Amino acid sequence: MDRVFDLRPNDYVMLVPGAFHVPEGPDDEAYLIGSRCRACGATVPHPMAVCPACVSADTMEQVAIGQRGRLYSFTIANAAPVGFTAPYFQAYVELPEGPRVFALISDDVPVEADALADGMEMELVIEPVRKDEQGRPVLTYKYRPVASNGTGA
Amino acid sequence: MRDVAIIGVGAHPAGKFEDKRLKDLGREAVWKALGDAGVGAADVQVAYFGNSLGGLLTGQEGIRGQVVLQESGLGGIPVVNVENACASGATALRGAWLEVASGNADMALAVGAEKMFVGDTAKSISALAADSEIELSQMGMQFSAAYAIHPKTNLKGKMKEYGWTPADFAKVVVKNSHNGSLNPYAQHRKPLAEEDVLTSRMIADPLTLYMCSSIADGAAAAIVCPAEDAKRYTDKPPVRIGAIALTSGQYRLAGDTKPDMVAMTAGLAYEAAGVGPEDVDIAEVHDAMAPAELLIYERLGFCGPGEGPRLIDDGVTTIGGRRPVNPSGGLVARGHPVGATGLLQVAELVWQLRGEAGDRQAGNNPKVALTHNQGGLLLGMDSAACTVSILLR
Ligand SMILES: [Zn+2]
Repeated sequence: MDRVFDLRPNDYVMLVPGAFHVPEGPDDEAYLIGSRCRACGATVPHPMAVCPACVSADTMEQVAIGQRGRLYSFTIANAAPVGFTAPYFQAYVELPEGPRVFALISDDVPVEADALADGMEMELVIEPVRKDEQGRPVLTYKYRPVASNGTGA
Repeated sequence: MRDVAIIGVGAHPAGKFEDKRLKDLGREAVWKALGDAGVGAADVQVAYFGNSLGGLLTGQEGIRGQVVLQESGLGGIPVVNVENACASGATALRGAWLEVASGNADMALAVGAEKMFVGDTAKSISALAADSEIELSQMGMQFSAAYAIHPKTNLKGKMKEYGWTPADFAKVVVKNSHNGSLNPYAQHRKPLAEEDVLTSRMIADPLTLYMCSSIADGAAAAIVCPAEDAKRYTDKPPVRIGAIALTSGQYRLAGDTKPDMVAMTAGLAYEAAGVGPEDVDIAEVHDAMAPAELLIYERLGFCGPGEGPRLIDDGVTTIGGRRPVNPSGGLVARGHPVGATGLLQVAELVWQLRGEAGDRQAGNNPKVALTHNQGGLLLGMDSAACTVSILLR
């Protein structure tokens, strides 16, 4: 496919709208859209309006999060819901800010159990999971081991 | 609060019933429960209907309870639709219980029904995924895989921490499939050996096919009334509701130290019923994936951390044991028609407490029974809903 930063917002759809940022140029980076509480520092890896720790309604700020993390756990799913094709990886990635986030794994990584190991340093990538009915790529965030950054572009 | 008794239960077997609709499954359970209680449809003053996936799978998005109860001959009364993922059935019973306990009604019906076989397995898998917060289901989260890797359960992590092996997970299936083989209501009637379990198809390492509950149709119902009125309707031993604790997930931030959701819900149920884990004679727990049963043992206070496999090795939780768990076969063998599961568990325990469970009757003359359900997954990491109920004879 095209490099994701060559895509204009009308050229793609997001698998989870509002969950991540798609790079808009070669110098722009992908990130998850998280929330951080100005009052108590609680950080969550998704948009959230009320702080789950201090329960303040007006202290959550949007933050870029999740560009790097460590692989917390993973497995290969051999059954898939509509729109996905088994086998495929499912994983939790632990972010340096603390939260663990559910994630898919980059298509760069062969779907084999020994291709990953718990504790691996991971980086965020934006990749298509399929095309929609109008042929537009459906983009989502995935992770891949930091070392295997060969084919992302 | 008035003391409340379950005076009748009924079930439609779990399994694949291609030519039956949701209303056929529900009607059979309702009429069996009415017959068991010795009451008529006109005696029911309020009904709670539990179902989770009927909107996506059958297209009947709204008014599922009214549709099923109209077909069953119940109309005019208040009908409350309950959706709480895998805890829908137990939540329906909670509603019926509180109606009677509060004095608002003198006879209430709880029904759980689910129609999961719709001729398209991927559609059923997607519907199950939709019981999680949408940001997770949109990501393609598959529930068996998610169970294997979720920080709360993390099976490979538990294997490392506790020294558990796939054979320990298979023990749960061997026990529960044996129980299921004795249960005419069970979806899977074939007793499985450890080797069958370990060599079945890998679904999501370390979970093999036979360790995972499967898609099922099914239904169950219960009739409740004030305990002091029970004798008026039936000669069968009344089963009192000691407690039905229901909780929702709490947001678990990094470094969370709050008590585990199952342990917390069980604590509320034990306290309300005035019993402790040591008093529980028999239990039906939510083994949607077989290894869950081992974790649930410790979270319910049946054993210490990591000691679950020993309860099976020592025969404690077999039907001939000191505290049988999942005598019905559990979710992996009896079956898991999502919205019906909680009431299928209740029906099983009512039969066990009355001594009516036939070939699978517990040998320990049970008096205190416990059910546990949990389901749905939130972005905040907890399950969405958890119930623990205590039933007493
Ligand atoms: Zn805060």
